[in-house]
Amino acid sequence: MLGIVFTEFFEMVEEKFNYEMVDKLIQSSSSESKGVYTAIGSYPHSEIVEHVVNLHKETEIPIPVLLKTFGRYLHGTFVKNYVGFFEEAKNGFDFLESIERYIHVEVKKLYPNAQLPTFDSERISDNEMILNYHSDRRMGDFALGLIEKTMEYYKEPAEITLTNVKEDGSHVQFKILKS
Amino acid sequence: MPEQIEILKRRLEREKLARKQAESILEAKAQELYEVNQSLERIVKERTIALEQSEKKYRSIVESAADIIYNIDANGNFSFVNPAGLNYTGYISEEVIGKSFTNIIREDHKAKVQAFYLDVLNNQKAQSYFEFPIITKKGETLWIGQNVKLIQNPNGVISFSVLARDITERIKLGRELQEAKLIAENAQRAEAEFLASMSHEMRTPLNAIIGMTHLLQDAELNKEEREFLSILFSSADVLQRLISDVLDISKIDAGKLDLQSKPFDLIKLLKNLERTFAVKLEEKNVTIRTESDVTLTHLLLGDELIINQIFLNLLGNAEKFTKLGEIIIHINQLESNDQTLKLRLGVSDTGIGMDQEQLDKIFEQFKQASAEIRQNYGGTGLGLAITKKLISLLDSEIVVESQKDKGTKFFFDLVFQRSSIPVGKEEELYSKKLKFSKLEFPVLIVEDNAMNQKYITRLMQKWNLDYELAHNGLEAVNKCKTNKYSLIFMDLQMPIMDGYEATNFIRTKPNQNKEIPIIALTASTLLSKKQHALNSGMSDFLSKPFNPKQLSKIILSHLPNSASEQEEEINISTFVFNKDLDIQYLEENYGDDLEYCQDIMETFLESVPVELEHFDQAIKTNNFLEMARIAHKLKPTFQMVGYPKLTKEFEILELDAKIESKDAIKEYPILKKKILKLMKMILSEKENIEIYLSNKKR
Repeated sequence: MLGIVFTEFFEMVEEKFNYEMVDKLIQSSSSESKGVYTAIGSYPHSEIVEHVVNLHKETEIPIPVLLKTFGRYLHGTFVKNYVGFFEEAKNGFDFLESIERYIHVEVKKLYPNAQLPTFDSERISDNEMILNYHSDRRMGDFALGLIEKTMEYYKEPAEITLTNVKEDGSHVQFKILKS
Repeated sequence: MPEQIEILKRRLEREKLARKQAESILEAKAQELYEVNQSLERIVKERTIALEQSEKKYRSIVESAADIIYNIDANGNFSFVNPAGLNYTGYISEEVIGKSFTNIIREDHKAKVQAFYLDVLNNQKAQSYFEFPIITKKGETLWIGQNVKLIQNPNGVISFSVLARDITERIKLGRELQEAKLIAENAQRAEAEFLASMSHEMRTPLNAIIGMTHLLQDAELNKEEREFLSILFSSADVLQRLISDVLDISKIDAGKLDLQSKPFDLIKLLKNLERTFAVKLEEKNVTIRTESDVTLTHLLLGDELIINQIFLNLLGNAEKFTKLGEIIIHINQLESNDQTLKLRLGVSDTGIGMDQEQLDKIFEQFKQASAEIRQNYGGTGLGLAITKKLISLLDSEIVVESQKDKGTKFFFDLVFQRSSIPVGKEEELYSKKLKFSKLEFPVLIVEDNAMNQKYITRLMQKWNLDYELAHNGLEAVNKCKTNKYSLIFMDLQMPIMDGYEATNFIRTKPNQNKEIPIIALTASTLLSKKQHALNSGMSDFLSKPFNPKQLSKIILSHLPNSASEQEEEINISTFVFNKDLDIQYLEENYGDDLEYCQDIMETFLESVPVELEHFDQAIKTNNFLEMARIAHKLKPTFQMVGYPKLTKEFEILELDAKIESKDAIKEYPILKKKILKLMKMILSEKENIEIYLSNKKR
């Protein structure tokens, strides 16, 4: 998993709680990295799962909420670092469609080993879109946060519902209905 | 507190490690980038070398090419010309580069070449070919043929890339070939024309020879001399026929026969031929009939004259070689649709037949099946060659099937266009009383023969058609200058100015009637005379003697608007003509119009004594030319009153007079007696008709 996910995760934990919480999570983890993360590195996916689970244990906040919150947080980082991608799309639907077709293609150029989720989308009407998320990482809630912030970024308020197509969460369907 | 210090220590440691980690990652990335850069540079270098080599190769091709290669920019200026191009034109690079390409194009082709480039540009033609002459620095003309490629670079700038070749030699060769072909064709035509005129020239002295042999026959000769004379006579006769055939064949070869496409009744034409040959065959044990599976509702379009001549030749041939049995005219339908009809036409006989060796020769000029044939049957050996040529003129081919001692069949396939004129419509017209609608302008009748004048003018009066009369060509020409006519009937042989000359004048000199139909009236049945009439600008011709049907048919075919409603006139004549006259002819021509027959007979009785007086006069002054003229004039009138025998005898009289044979003078008194007897017969016939008609009226 890309290092930026780890660094941003701990940035968020420090911001929402404090560094003591960050230290607690690292100290209690059995991970190889011992909390040494850099945005340009790459680390095992299991480590972020362990951190999220531990955060849940410490705070009693449900994991889906934690993941969604992290998605919303990371969106801000993306906008800050990669504003070009956002400016190229005219609206939320255009942007969501561009993830698979353009953004992930570019990410692969920079990080050839990155394992990315796949998206396929279908526009039902000008106001409605179906977006399918496929990933063994099963981070649909994290994606939900990112999608919510995307629609907010383009100032297109929308009702977004998440349905598990596969029970294990490796295939999730989002229905985005602009209001 | 110590707890917080510990945490801070750990944080610092982690961040230090992370920084180091990041540094090593970056170091690795930098290394990677460097390698990529290296390999990119290497690729660029390789590509540049390849490009340079390719350009070098291309440049050497362009520069050493024997073909002219040049580029023209969007402004029409040369941007590049290869050495071959400079070599050919003699210019140096500075004289052409940056200058308009039109500078070197020959003046008369500049506009054309510019139009060509414009066409390539406007129609975005990727590639096209063009030939034109250029002027070299030395002022010579060179022809180049060039392939032009339209080049459009990514910025949309357009230019032309041209590959051109010197084609001067080819153009020169082509032109020389063309000229040579023209010369050859002219020579061929000249040869045929020479042959035609020579044949014509040969006839004059030959006529004298024949005339002299006639005269010699009256001299006192011993047996041997008489035999010599007979050989002389028959040789002259063969020579005369040979010349006539050569004349026909050279006319075909000289391209002087123009095909006509006019409505005609094929079945009727062949029936008439059958009748003619039936008369000829009466003395032989040979019958003639027509076998046809074709019924025609409408006239066909075609050249009646040529088809007539073909059948005349084929039937003549069949007649010559058949001693016993029958001759059959075949008409079979092959294909038929709304527009066209394909027929197989032919003539078969039960004559002497031919074997394969003979068959191979018969269509060649001057070759007959065998020397024996020539001895026994005579002939020139041109008849079938002419027939073959005539048939090929009609885009067909003659086929012959023959078995020795069994007989011969000739046939050929013709495709006819159907006309919209129903067959027999003309017949129908005449069973009704004919009426023409009024013409816009009168008809001009140009005729010196009083009988013919009367004949035509009476018909005109009867049909309520306005007309004017001219007695010779000059009169006609003068009338045409001031008056406008609907149609002209033009006699061919006339004093002062003949019909050919008058027609030529009307067709070519300013006058009111340049475009109107001119119908030749001719006593000659020769194809060549008729052809001559058409060649001199006449629209059609009518052979004398003609009947009212033929006259009105020809008016209707040239002035279709003159047709008018017909009044039914049921007229069943029971009048019986004198059996000494040609009853068939009279019934066919006057059967339904006895009043008209009366008219003709009256005109005959009025005009013949005048002509006879003229003939007497001519004999007194020994004027053969005048005798021939009167004989020619009188010739058709006998047939018109139903006495064709005298027409034939006058034909001989005309010939005798033409060759200034004393026979003309000798024979005339006998003929005159016959005429006087005929006049008595006609007078009583006329009176009989009068009585019949007045009885009928009551």
